[in-house]
Amino acid sequence: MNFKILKRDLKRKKSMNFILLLFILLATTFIASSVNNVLVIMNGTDYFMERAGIQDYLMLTVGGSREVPSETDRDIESFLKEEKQVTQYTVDEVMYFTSGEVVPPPEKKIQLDNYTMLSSFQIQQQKFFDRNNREIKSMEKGTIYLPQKTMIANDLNAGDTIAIHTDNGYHKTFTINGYAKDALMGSDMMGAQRWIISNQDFEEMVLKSGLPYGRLYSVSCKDLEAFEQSNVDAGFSTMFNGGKALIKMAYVMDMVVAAVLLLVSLCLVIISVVMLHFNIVFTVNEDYKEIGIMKAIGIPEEAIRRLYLSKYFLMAMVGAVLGLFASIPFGRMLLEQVTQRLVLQEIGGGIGVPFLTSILVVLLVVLFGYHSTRRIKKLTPMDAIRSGNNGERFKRKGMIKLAGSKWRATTFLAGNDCLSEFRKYLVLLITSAVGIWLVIMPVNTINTLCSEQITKWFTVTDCDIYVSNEKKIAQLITSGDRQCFYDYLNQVEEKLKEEGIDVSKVVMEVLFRFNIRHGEDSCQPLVFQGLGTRTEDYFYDKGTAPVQENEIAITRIVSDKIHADIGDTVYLTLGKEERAFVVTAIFQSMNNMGEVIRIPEQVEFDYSDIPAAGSFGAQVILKERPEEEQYKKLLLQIKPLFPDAKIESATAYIQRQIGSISEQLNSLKILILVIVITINILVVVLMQKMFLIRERREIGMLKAIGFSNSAIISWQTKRIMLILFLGIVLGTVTATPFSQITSGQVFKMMGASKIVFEIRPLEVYVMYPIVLFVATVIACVIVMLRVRKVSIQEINVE
Amino acid sequence: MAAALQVKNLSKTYITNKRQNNVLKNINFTIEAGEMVAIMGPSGSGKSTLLYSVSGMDRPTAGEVMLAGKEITSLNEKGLAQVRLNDMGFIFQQMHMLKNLSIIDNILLPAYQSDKNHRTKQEINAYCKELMHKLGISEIAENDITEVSGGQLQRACICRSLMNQPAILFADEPTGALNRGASEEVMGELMRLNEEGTTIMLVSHDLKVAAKCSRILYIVDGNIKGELKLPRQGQALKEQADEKSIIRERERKVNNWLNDMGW
Repeated sequence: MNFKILKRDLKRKKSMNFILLLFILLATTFIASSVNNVLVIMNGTDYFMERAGIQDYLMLTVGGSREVPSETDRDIESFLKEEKQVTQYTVDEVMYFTSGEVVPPPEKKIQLDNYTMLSSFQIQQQKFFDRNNREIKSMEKGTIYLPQKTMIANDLNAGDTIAIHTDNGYHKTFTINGYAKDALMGSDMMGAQRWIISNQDFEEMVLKSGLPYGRLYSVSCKDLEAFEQSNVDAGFSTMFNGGKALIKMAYVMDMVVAAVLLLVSLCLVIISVVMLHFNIVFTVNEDYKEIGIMKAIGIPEEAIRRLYLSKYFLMAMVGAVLGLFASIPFGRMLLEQVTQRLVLQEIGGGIGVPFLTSILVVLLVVLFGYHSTRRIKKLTPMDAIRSGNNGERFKRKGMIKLAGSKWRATTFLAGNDCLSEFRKYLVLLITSAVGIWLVIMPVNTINTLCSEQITKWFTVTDCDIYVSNEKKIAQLITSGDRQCFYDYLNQVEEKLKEEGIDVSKVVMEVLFRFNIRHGEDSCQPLVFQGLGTRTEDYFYDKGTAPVQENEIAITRIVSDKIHADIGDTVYLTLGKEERAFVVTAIFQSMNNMGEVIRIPEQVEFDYSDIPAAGSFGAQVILKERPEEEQYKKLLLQIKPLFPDAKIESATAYIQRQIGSISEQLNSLKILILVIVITINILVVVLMQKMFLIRERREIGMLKAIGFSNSAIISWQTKRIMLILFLGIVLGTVTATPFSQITSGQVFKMMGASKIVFEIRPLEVYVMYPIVLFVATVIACVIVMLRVRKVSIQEINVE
Repeated sequence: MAAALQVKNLSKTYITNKRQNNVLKNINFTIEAGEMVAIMGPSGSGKSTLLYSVSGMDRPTAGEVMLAGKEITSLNEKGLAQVRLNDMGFIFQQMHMLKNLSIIDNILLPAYQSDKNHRTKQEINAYCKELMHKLGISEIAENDITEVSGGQLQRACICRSLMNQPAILFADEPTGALNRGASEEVMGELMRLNEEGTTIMLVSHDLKVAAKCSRILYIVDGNIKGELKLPRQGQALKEQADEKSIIRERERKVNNWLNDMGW
């Protein structure tokens, strides 16, 4: 009997049941894919490091050769052999090159940001993966894998040929296989990248190319902290020196994308649960007549409840199975933004999580059904007779009055509906508010990352033009002579002046790695020394700029690490000598995850004792910054003077340093906008369809008393517009403070604890809200056109 | 007297399961302004279809309907909505009202939607109060629709149908959902409105209701089989003092006629 009633119910209320099924399907799709994505992202870098086989600690050196290792390499080897904390270590060979040694494919140019590392694909340090996350197990001679960033930035494709041509005349051509995922060097924050080639090619190049040689040490430790301390104390001068945690931290920019995605996923879960609850309550309310009749003929409450619960269970099962299948491609589509550089756990392989969440959705549906059917106790046979009204009413429904109001009838009806049955529209309100968060938060983050203030957070001087020539910088570093740096800066200034450019000065930030100690605490931060710059020109959170030769500024992160504050004396290891400095200022920096210190130009030490770790290139400060058009022309004018260098603005330079995060976030922003609009449209369409079914009698009645189709569409659309407007305003107003809480945390991880978000009001407060509003309203009007199909005769339909 | 409603060669055909069902067959009649006409007939004879077709609620398959001098069958949906809003009032058997509005707001709704006669909102509100007072429901103005009796609700529906001062009032079994007392209240109001000049066309199964009208059209199988004219009940009451005997006499007359028609 129950089965017969159920079968008839499913057939008779096709539209309502279909909408409920769709909601369950959508909820399962969102929840299953989102929960899975959350788990995948949370374990993202751990999984990548583990799969790649990254050891506890890595050190990268430059200098020497295979036959004659450099002094640093010899010291490191003996240190690793003797250090008690080391359980095992491996050594791999690498080579270095710059843009100047690369011959691009015809009609293309190659620009590399910094020095690039070359290694064989078969090294002990780690495994590499192709774009489909398959481990690269073999490579043909003459082929090469490039980093994804290089391929995109230089418009290179698989199959293109590229060559390395060195100063000694050695020339080697490679065919590009595609891009490889490299756990150690894959992040933009690492500042350098790695190209990988076959074993045979690498052997040949080590012997013949004459490229700078280096070694990569990969260390497993018993106690990492103790090892790090010994290593810092040893004070090796390396290209890179860091633990697995630092490498993971370098993916923080990718984690910005992941964090945004995480937020999207969590919001989708919220929307789904609200949607489900709303729909089930709505459906049960629709069934009051049947419930009343069943009670009238003596069917017990429990039996009625069982009947409805079995209906919801059945629909939940069908919806959940369909949703489970839909969640896999949907989840993949979302994750694609994060998987470009990371190797994440395969979502298809991890079907367990989506399966479990689908079961959770079934349970949720039954639970909401159980909760909602509590009302069965209250429903009486009178409800069936009196169409759901038993004459008792304790709460007034009409919240506003038409009599005396200045509104049009349709506007009044819309407003009154929203106020009288606010809970009915809550799901749309939440969806649109949460939706607008999802759009605005990444936009604020992107705009901040692309703003001019970002230079401030990257601890560089406010200059007008960057002239970055990696080859020249490498030469200067190798020279180990501070005067060579000044000479180069003078040359650049002279050249520019000869060209008639009004230059104020040309400066340079030189980067080192020193050991800094305060009492027992020490670390090895990135040290900035500006040649030609004034320390007063930089931004400090508190204190005053270090100007004397025994003064220093440290970041908040270094301050926390070594427990030193303004006025404290700290010790820097400058070569063989330890020198005392007084901390005069605290600042913040997004370089080196916030582990940065600044010393004034007055601090004298021998550059040959401590080779520089890098430089940003020559930084040109003009007497007067020209207008935008003139400025662009100026950049073009300078380019021929320095054919091997990249000429760009400070912001463009920083953007290049940050990497492709802006583009990634931009494409994610568009994807999120599309998802949010689609979800809003889906919710509105499904809600409207339900309202159309439920309100067909009211619509028939309004038609009967002379309301035209357009007036009825206007009523229903205004209702949705009102809720949408409220939701979007609520979302827009709260999105910016919410950005501080969410995206602000990511900036904090990067070293900038007090970021001020760049808010572009027109974009954030006007454009996106309007796009969401207009798109949803258009969809609503399209659905509402079905009002024309509702006939006056439906006034009598129960 | 001018015709409030003129129906010429009206037909309505439904096609169900490829079978043609001619519900109304070439119907012709006229209702003069100020008349109160009842449509009677057995179930399925086409009474309600006729009412819906002539009132612009449904479209006839063929024929012409002149309502307040306007030919309405050729109007588009928007034009028909205008006719329903401004030129006629409709009272249903069930008292359909919007549940989120109070009684007074339900009554005001069509007037606020209409721009007929360019009345100000104050004028509309005053007219609404006057109508409610006339129909004896002033005290329930602010009530919800679930807080009043069926008779009060139907009177509120009558008020609503009159808000735009229509040329004609249509009623489909206006007392069908009411008890005897409430039925009499509602019919009393309709008769009083008719006395004041409102043209009324109603469908009823109730002999007592039909006996209060000035003319009865009897419809069988989609054709008008017969017509009975009665003197205006209000006029008769004025001329003779014994109200009960007049009503009994009218009802007896209608009953005999209906028997002749095969009722």
